[in-house]
Amino acid sequence: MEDKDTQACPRPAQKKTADLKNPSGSGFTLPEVIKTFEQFEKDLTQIAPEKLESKYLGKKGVLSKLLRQISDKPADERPVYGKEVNELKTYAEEKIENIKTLDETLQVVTEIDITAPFDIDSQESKRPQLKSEIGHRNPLTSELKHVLRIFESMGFNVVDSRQLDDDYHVFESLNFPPGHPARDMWDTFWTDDDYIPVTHTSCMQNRIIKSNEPPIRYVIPGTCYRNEATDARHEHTLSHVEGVYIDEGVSLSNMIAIIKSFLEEYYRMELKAKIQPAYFPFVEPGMEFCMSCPFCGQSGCSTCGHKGWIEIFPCGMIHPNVIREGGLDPKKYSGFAWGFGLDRLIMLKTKIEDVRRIRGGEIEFLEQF
Amino acid sequence: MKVSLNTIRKLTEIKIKPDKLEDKIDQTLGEVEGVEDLSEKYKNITIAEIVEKSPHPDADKLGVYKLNIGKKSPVQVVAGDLTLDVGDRVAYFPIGTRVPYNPSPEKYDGTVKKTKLRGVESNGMMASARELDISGNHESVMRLNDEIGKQARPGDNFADAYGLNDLVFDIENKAMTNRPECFGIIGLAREIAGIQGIKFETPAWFDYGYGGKDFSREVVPENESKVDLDVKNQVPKLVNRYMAVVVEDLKIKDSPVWLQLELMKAGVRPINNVVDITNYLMIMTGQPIHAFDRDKLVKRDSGADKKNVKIAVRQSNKDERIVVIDGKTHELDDEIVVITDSSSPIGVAGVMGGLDTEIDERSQSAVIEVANFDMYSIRKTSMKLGIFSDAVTRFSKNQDPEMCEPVMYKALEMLNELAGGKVVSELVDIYPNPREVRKLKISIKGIQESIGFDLPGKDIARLLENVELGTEVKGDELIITIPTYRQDLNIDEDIYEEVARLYGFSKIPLKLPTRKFKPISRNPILELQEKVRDFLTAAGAYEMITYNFISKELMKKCNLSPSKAYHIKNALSPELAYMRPNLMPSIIEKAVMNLKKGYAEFALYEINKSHIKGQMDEENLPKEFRTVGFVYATADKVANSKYEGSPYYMAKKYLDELLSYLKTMDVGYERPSGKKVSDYPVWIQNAMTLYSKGSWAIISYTFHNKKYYLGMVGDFCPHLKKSMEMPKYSAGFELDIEALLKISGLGGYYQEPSIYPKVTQDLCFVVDRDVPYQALVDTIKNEVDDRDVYVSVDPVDIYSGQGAVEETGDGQSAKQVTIRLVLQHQERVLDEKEISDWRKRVIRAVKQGCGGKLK
Repeated sequence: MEDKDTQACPRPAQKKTADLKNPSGSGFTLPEVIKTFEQFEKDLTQIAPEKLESKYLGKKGVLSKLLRQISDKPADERPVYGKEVNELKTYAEEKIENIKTLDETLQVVTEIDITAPFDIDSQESKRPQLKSEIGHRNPLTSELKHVLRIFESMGFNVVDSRQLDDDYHVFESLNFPPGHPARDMWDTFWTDDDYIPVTHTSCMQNRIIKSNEPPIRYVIPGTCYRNEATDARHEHTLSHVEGVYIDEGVSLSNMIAIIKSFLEEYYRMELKAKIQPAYFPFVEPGMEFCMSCPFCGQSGCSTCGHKGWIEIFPCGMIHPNVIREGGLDPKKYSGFAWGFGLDRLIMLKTKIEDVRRIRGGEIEFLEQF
Repeated sequence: MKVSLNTIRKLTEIKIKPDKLEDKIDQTLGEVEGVEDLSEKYKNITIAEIVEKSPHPDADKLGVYKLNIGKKSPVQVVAGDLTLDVGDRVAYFPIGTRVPYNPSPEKYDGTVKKTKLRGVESNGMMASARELDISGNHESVMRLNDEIGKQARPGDNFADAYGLNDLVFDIENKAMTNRPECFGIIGLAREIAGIQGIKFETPAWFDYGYGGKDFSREVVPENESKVDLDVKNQVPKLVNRYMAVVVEDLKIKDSPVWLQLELMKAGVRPINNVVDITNYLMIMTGQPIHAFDRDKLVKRDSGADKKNVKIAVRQSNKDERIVVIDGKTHELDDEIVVITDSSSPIGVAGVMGGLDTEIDERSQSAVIEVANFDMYSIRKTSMKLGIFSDAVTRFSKNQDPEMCEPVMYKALEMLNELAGGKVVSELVDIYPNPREVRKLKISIKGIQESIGFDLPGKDIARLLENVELGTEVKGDELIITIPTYRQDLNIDEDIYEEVARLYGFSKIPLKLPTRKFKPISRNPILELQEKVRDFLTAAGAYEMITYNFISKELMKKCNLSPSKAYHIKNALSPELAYMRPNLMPSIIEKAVMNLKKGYAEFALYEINKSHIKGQMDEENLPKEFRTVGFVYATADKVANSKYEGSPYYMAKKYLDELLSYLKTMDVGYERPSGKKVSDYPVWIQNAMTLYSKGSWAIISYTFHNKKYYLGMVGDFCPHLKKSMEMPKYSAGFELDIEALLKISGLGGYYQEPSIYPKVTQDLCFVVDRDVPYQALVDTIKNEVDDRDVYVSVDPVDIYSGQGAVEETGDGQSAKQVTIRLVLQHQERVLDEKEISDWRKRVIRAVKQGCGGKLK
């Protein structure tokens, strides 16, 4: 790296309006101007920019006063006098402006002691303290903690997902035939270099299968991205939690039982399960796990749309092509996978109306969690 | 997909109640999104016969009709349709009936009232097709002159006679993406039979799935070819099959009522008999059909005579355009498959026909097209042109080209019956690669293992036969014959699904897997992140989760170079056009937002990943930098009176406390220097410009004699503060989580609590201003390191004022640091002498090590 890059902070080039010409370092020739200049330079390092401004540039300021004195000068001295005072004024204006915008007092004068616990000369009562009130976590991470704790207790390991990945891991290794609709520009973001902000955390499946011996039990939380217009119910950025279980003789019955057990622990009540068919290329069969509404016990509420059921877990038996691509024999091993949206889980639970608030960063929102 | 239960009943039995059926469809086919009860909609409408017709005494445009409605005396109604005749059957709305379609509910409550029209009493209304919500026709009263209407007795209930005591299910078709045949009602009926455990039988005219059947009809003359039909398929890779034929003698009129009602139930508007037949067959089978007006076609075709038809199927040229039947003009490129006459496009293949060959009420002759197009090509064209037609919905699911033939013959039969059409050309059929019937051999045990319980082989076979899959049990194996329309069944797992689904997923007995009681190994990175969150939250900070996307503008405002960020080529907006190379700008942006909302002082943090263009990991994929970013911000009005000194120390305070909480080994704060920059990790190099020169530090540690970099802490650069409108008192830090993990838990030695008293000594040293505080503390700590004496060294004050000036004679470069030394012996009380010795040692060490002296 070149030396110029080491400048931690860019700052404008110094203007050369009133550059150095004589021993006083000012280029000024008239004693009263030089004196004022020297005083100004001294003050510059010690007085706050606001005070400097009023001292030198205000109506009753030093420079205004100096300028008014022009009438006391002999006529032949007046042009030089006026020129120098005005130059000094321009110089002072620029300097003060620089200080105000770039805080140059701190930059140039003070290299603070970065190892100290507080700044030099600060009174004890005005030194930094940790806040005395407690902060708040984002519901995404606190809910995830709750979810992961349950899966961990059921024997699942946790690895979080990549955010930027390649076509092989996002699609190809997951049995998305070329030209599959989900690969279209419609749903997927692409970088100029053809990396994909992952559309699902399933991008980790192939890696997990390759780097583990069965039984493989993993939960994969992570951020994923969908190229679709956003509104209160749709976000381009989502948190997903995916699960993978591969072993000899893993059945559909096992899958439904595990998901049901998880949800019953999560909601701390007995639930009913209903399975709807769904199509995802990386599972066969693919389905949608619906739970009986935990909020109304199927008596009908707005959360379940008075249906008594909530669709919550897309899931399915892992497609043999996916298992094979991971280096295992699909004749010997079978498995299942699921993926659900953490945002949706939180919205169901907390009645957040607009999904965009979760990543909105408003303290007013976070304070409630 | 809208499907009427009465239509299904014509194809198979429904032996369970509608709500149970809805539930079953939900669980095996797709969600039933809505159920419409037509009996409610068509309540109280009566079939009536016109028995008397007379002119209105005071109005030329009105007629007075007497209707037989099955009661002793006829009722009188006044109507605007003068074309009705005695003997016509109509649908009659008695007074009080709610009209099914009310175009202006704000003006009219939709209930038929007793009224007088120009002085003549009118008791009820005769229905138009629009009022019945069947089509848009409101010019005339709808005649019920078909078989059903003729056989009905006046007074019969309209809904009963026409099968309108019916439920229409709207089934979400997302789950059927790989089931093209379910985009036709016959295919759906097969499934509905299967899930009820009923054996389905496809109507004979459509039973093509196993090949070898002859579907030809009398309507197609064997050898007669009045008209030459010349068809060329120039893109056989994208057009799997193309059938076409010319029909003449068409009489365009309204379709019979039953047909209009079938369309209405499926959500399609009736138009005229020819168009309705094409739509009806598409709804029933999933096979789209198109009819071109042959006279318009030959007329526009400069390369043809006025009788014979030339059609070519090819890819479009860049300079071509077409106006399609919805009136929109589309510019074509060189990839779109089009149907053309001898020179220019007359239709976008499988997507939408052209406007200038559209069938209208004057059409007499048509070219009927039944074809099959490549699903991906159709989908691409649809996306490109933004046309989402019923044909696109079906073709993009990979329809079976085998069904073109039975559908073509059925269409010709119906065109003949309902429109008088006669075939006058050869029936062209270009079909180079016919589909084949396949067989799958599968282990019954495999099926049982996969679903998780022992469903007997014969039960499995029965489930599959119900949906017309051929089965043969051979020992432990099942040989399954697969019809051409089931391209979704290829591997064993497809059959597992089919069995589980038809059996009912929800009926499968649940069984948790058995596993060894081996503890999982927790993910240390995620555990550490949790600890960081625990601490920062307890210390009053708010946790942000912000977008990983960032704008070029925000990066520039924060002095970051957009060239280091991955650019999203199809971003939703410029705000979301890059993957962020660093977390801080997003957090700073949220800090500014919260300041503007009136929050005057707060701390924010985020744990997330960022990506720097060109930085690769061991998989040769973009390296993911996992960091925690922290921002402290205080509005000027609060900071001015509350804090003194650089905000750097606030960020450092949080950082020091965090590291202490995580029990990390000691870290060093070093002033970044130009020479060392290339030693720093790239993510640090890339974010140095966030901070203000002179008031930021690189945090490093040494482990096994190697230096590692943990992150940065600093006051924000004034340029950033100005462009982002961050207040003066704002600063932050960012740490590499993986580096943090390496040193967590390595520091913080245990000290046995002592019962002896602590001795506190405040020592005020005058040192050169350039001597770092840490150097002074380290010097003292090194000196007092003793196994038996517990020592703590804490700062009390750091001062540059008058006192320091006096001591050194050079006030500009001196400072005075007051240190509180606490000593405590493990085994005894420290005596005066020992304390004094300790003092002397410390003073001497400071003098030697830092050139300082006691004030």
